[in-house]
Amino acid sequence: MATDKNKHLNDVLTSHKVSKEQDLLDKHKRKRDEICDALVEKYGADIYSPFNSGSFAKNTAVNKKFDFDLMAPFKRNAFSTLENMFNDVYDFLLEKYSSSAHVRKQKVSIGIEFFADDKGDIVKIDVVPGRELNQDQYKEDDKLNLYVYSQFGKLQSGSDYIRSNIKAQVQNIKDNADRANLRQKVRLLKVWKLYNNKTPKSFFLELITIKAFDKLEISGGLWDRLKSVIEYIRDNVTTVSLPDPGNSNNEVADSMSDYEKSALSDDMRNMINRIEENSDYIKIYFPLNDKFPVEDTSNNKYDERKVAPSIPPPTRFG
Amino acid sequence: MKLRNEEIGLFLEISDDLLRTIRESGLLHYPKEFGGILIGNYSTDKKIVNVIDTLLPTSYKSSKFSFERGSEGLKEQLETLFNGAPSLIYVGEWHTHPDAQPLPSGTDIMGLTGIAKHRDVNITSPILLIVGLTPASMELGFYVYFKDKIYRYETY
Amino acid sequence: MEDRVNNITDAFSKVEYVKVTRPFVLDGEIVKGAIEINAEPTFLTFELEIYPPYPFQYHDVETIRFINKDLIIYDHVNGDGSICVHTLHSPHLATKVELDLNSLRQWIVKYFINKIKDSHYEHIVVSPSGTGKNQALWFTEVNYKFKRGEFGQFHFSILNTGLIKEQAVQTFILQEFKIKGQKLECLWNDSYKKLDRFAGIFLFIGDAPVENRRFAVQSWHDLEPFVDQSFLKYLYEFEVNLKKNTSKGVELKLIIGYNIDNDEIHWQCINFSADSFPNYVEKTGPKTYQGGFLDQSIDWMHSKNCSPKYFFGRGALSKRLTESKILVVGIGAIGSMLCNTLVRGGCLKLFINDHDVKEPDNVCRSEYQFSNGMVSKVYELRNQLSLISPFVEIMGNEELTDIIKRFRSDANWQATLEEALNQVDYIFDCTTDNDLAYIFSQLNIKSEVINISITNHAKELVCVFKHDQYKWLMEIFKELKNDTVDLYNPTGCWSPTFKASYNDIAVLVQFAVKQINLNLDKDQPLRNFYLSTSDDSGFEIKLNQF
Repeated sequence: MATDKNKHLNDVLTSHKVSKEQDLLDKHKRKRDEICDALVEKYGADIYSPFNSGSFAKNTAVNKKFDFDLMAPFKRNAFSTLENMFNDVYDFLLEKYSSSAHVRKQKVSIGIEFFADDKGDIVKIDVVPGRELNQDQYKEDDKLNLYVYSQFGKLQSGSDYIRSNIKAQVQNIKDNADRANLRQKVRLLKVWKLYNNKTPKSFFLELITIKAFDKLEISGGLWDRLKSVIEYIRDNVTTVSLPDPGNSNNEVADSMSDYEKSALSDDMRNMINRIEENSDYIKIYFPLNDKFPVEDTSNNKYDERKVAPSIPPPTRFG
Repeated sequence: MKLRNEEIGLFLEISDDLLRTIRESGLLHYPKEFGGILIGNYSTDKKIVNVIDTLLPTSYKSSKFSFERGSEGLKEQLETLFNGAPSLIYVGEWHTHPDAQPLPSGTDIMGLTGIAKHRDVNITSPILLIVGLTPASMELGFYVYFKDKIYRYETY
Repeated sequence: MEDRVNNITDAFSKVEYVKVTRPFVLDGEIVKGAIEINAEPTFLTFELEIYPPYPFQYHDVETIRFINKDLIIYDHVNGDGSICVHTLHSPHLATKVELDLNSLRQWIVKYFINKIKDSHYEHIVVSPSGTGKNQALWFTEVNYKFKRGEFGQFHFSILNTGLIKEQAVQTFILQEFKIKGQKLECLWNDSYKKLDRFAGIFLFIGDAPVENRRFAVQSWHDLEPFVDQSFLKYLYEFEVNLKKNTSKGVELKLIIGYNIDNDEIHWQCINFSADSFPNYVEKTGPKTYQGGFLDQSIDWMHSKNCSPKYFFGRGALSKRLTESKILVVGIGAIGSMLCNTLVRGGCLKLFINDHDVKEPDNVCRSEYQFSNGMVSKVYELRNQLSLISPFVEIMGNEELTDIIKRFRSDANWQATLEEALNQVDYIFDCTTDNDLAYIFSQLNIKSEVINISITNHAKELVCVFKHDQYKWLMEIFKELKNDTVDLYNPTGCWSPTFKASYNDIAVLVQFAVKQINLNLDKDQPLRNFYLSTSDDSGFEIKLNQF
């Protein structure tokens, strides 16, 4: 039996709502607040208020994998070098959390993955240290330099930092959020990525989706709209330019190799071909979250115990 | 204004005029809470609730943080509406949260649950509109009681 | 036949840079003559022999021979002085003559005038003769750097005896060298190492034993400059010992090693009778002796380096596969074809598993033989594969899948199983067993699991990789609407199987291996796919990737 693609995609979005994992979400928030407080306590006047970046801030998260990023903006004079900043924050977090979490250096962040709690839940938070460009300038321009941990190779040759305005990155997707529910498409592509073991960075998918919305007239049902984005990626991923909204000199398209781009293009092509051939395949490309099966709502209704006027009792609200 | 909750597949429609009326009533009591009951009907398939009007209570107690609606005179009014053409019924409640977000408090949830389970109430899924109110702005939160849980509607 | 001589004469006289110096005449079946080629600044003469098939080739050899024994020291000249020319095909005599002469002139310019040396190594020319003519020695490299003058014993085994043109031919394989108590083994797998062994003598001489640059010496006496007295003494003692112990008429093998390009060693093998050792000893003083070789012809044998790089030299699968350990579960039609392809393609470490027994009706569409009778599939395939490749190591097991199912809920066992499966890099599941696919998908293993199955009538082949394998399998099979009614039930309803011929299945299995190999070789992502076939307008296979 053919699958109703629009309904299915809608169910996928529903079953991946972060609100379904309220418990885990709350655990993440509590840990994040705790880390935030610890950083402020440790660095005092050297640090501005840490803020959320990542998909939570952008409203594009899915509940299968939380990516909680905490941006830690330091003052220019807090550290002599970006490397010192990165290592200092790492050392601090390692000392504080090594008995309760795996703490490791990542490309631009320090990953803290807490050991599973008694319910088997794992909280993972990435702390991204950044330093303002000049003393007190952050308040004016929101710009920060990030340190690129060298084990992962140089991102841009000749520099060990990325200059980025993370606030602008977050704002970018927030600003674009109205257009025909762009964020829905980003969430769906994330679902595809997570379940199909694919590698493109979420940031890349976000930017190319925004670009697709920029270039195309995106309309119709949920599938038609998603398909437009997929087709756009298929046809343009190898050539498209995706400047970082946080730093126009940073070309995010360069973060993927030509080879990875053409693999992504092939993925998009195969996916459309298969789904158009047989709508049922949409269910494996975009699966529901098993943990939160979408109930059949067709029998739900505003029921009445009997056809008679209802007289509500006096009631107190707060 | 049209809203729905995807998870349970139920819809809600309410006119802008009525929302304006509610806002004005709320502002008259600002910064204290205020509220009333919602009148309307269900679509033939019972998937959509149409909120058509509000009845304001003649007896109530209110403060900055709470509102207690009385029921004086409601029975007569609701019976008249039920027998009218078209027939209108009680579909839920609204109240304001002055200078606060339209999120349901524990009291709100208990209140709505109590209504849904009350023997004089025949509908199983009463709705709750909370109006986050300031003199300059209004933020709306629509909720419904459905099978022992509270769900929030979203615009679509 | 007169016409043929005239035609040939005409054809040659039309070529301006050729002068016929001795007119063509018929000698038996062969047309003979002599010509002079003008290849400025030089002239060269050649004896000519033209055989009856000309202008056609015969057994891939040209049927015209340009001979000049003085040219034997140049590249691409055979032992009899004939120049090795290969030209384009033409069925017209005059055209073919022109092509061959052009080719000859090119040889003169390139190798005679400009003295170009080819960069690829050309083996020395050995003409097996005498008792060596119908014997061959195959060897592989061993992990040892031989020193010039080093000698000792080696062991070899008889691989097989066959027929070539009604003559019995024996093939031997070199097993090991014994050097200073050390055993240096060839790379054959265990089933070849187990063969009965015989002793021979090896001698490493460094430079190839040739005269005229490329031609193996033909007399023992000519070998003398390549050996020193210590070897001759050894040979003499060997002879003395042998005569004390054994019977007459034994054949002995002497292998002679030398360096060819790139530090590679080649071995030539000589056959000689224990009754007539080719060496002698002279007394040169009261207690001094001098050894030497007699002037008697050498019986060179055929010899071939069979090391994997040559054995699989004409074409192999991606190194990603050949250098991996591979487990194939289920060796019915699909699995046995897959194994065959992997082994011929150069894979060296294979584990095979099946609980099933081979029956005669399996033979028509899988890699099994009637001749082996009733036998477990694992036992037979293991032997078959070892017959194909002397390098593949095959482990077989008939119980793995049963054990997997029986103990699957036991957590300890699961850990043991995961550990065992992690020993291999790729697991091909060709069982068409959904239970097993389900169990595999529950395991936490590093190895890539590749599930290959086909639908009835071999309409489609489905290949699904590890990630979410079970889910994809179920979904794809649901879509393909596999016909499970029209099955083949030879022995009743308990063993139904799909209907398809060897050809139906093999064409899809080969296509699938090609696709997987391509993905691996190019480091492309492994994408699930199915192959769909149609025969509406000629047979077509379509690759559908996910």
